[in-house]
Amino acid sequence: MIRVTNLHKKFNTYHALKGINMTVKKGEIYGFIGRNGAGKSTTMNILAGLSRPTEGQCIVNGKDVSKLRHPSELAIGYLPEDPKFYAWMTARETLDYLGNSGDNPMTKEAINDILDWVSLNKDADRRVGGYSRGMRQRLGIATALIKDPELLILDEPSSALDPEGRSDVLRLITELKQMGKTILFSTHILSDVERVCDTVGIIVDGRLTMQRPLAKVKREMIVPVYDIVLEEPPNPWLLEALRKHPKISHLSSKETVLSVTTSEPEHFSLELMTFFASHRMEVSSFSRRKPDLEDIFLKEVNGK
Amino acid sequence: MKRDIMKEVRYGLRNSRFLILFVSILFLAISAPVMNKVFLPMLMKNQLPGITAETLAQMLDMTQLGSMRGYMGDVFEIGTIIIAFTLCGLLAQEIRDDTLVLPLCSGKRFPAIVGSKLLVFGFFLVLTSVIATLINYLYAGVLFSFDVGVGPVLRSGLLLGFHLLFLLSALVFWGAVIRKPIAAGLLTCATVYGTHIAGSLLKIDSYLPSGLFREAQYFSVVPASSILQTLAITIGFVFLLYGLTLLRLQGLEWNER
Ligand SMILES: Nc1ncnc2c1ncn2[C@@H]1O[C@H](COP(=O)(O)OP(=O)(O)OP(=O)(O)O)[C@@H](O)[C@H]1O
Ligand SMILES: [Mg+2]
Repeated sequence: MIRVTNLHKKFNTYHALKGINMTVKKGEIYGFIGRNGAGKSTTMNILAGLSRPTEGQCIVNGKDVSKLRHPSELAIGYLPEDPKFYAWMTARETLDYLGNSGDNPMTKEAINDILDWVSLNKDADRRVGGYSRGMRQRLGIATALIKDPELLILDEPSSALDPEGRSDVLRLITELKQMGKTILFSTHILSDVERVCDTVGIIVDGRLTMQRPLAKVKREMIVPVYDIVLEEPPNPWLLEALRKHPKISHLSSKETVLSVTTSEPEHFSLELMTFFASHRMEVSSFSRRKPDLEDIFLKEVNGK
Repeated sequence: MKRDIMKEVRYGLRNSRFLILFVSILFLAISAPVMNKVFLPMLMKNQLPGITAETLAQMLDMTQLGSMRGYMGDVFEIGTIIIAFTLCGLLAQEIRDDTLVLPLCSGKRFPAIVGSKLLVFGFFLVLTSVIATLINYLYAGVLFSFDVGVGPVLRSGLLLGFHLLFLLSALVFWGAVIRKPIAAGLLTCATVYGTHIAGSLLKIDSYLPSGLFREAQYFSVVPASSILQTLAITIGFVFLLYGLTLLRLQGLEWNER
């Protein structure tokens, strides 16, 4: 549904996107993560046909975004990071205004249904200017749904929502997937990604450094981490020796605390213990933990 | 298009734009005769004690026509500023605040969006100017005496209205070009005053929108023969500015900081 090749975006001198390559397949939920300023919103804004790529190609719903004459040709549902409404319109009027352009006008019942979906019916006849941030977010989600599009691009759909609202959004996303829709969404809440996504993409500094099915990530990357606390800080040569150890794939140390991951978990703890024993290092604690997506994310973002 | 028009009407009503404009122009319509009848003579008498009624009448045009011309001048000088700054956000603010993003995504087109703004506020300004000019005529007639027929007054009101329509299209155009409400207001004032100055200096008024205003101020029984041509040129300017606005909007990128 979306294919991005070598996408660049420059703002005057600032190079925000530096060659993004990504693919979103039909029917999947794609979680787009990255820290503040990594370029998620910039990418999604281009995919929604609102701003133009400096270089590269983006095919969305079969259309090349740089050849559009109007953003609505993409026939997608787009939720901007910070959706802006007319403060002097009510939510119902807003949906009536936005829903009645083009070919399929929206009936009063359809508007009511959507307002119900996002739990705004009670406040539907209040002016949007008086809405809270979370209520505006709900209205934004409603506007993304009005044309019942096949592809949704949602920029932080669960931001500013209360816990109930967040799980409503996740429920909505899974329901939409069951209806066969494709969804690309960005978020900072990694547990949400773990709950609903089929594929994760991590963007770091304008580049997509990882794009993998979530199941594969879980299988291959969520390997145990050993946290070892030593009695005294290790010597540099000891750290060096650990790094060279054939079974250790990653090591980080901070004063007396070491975190070690392995590519071969078989008998690994035994070998670690032997290593410390043979170097006569006192170990005050030794524990094993399963990392979550957050650790992977942090690792990815901090450049291994 | 119907919903775009409804949107602009709501904007005008709920943000008191219609009210502000109507009241201000009406105020000018009423204040001009009062100034002419009460304040100016009083001022002159204070400044120049011993002035006779005849000299006073010679210095001030104390007639219905004089007050109506005063009113027209006020609308041109003060009204332009009031309208420009009351409506300067019409398009510029929308671009600045990104409120056009969702309409665009949902399939709204620029010709309808901008067209509705020109239609709704253009119609309102023409109507207001006709009504205010009529009220000015009646009030000045009551204070002085009726020396003009109602026909030329209606015509002048219409011409003034079309001049304000030109102002409106300049406002929308500058809004799209520089995307800052206050600056758009300033440039619009500069455009309106500029065409007026250029028109009178180069004596090409009848080829410029300012010709409408000049003709409106005459309240002549028989209008200048060139008036239809000036009207056509003004409407041409309005369409030109509308087209340029669309062209500019088409080239913009949206939802960027
Ligand atoms: N119009 C612009 N002009 C200049 N720089 C911009 C512009 N828009 C975005 N940027 C820069 O591009 C980078 C990416 O911004 P973007 O909004 O895409 O980040 P993001 O990943 O969505 O972050 P967040 O998690 O905070 O939403 C940032 O460094 C930002 O400052
Ligand atoms: Mg963002």
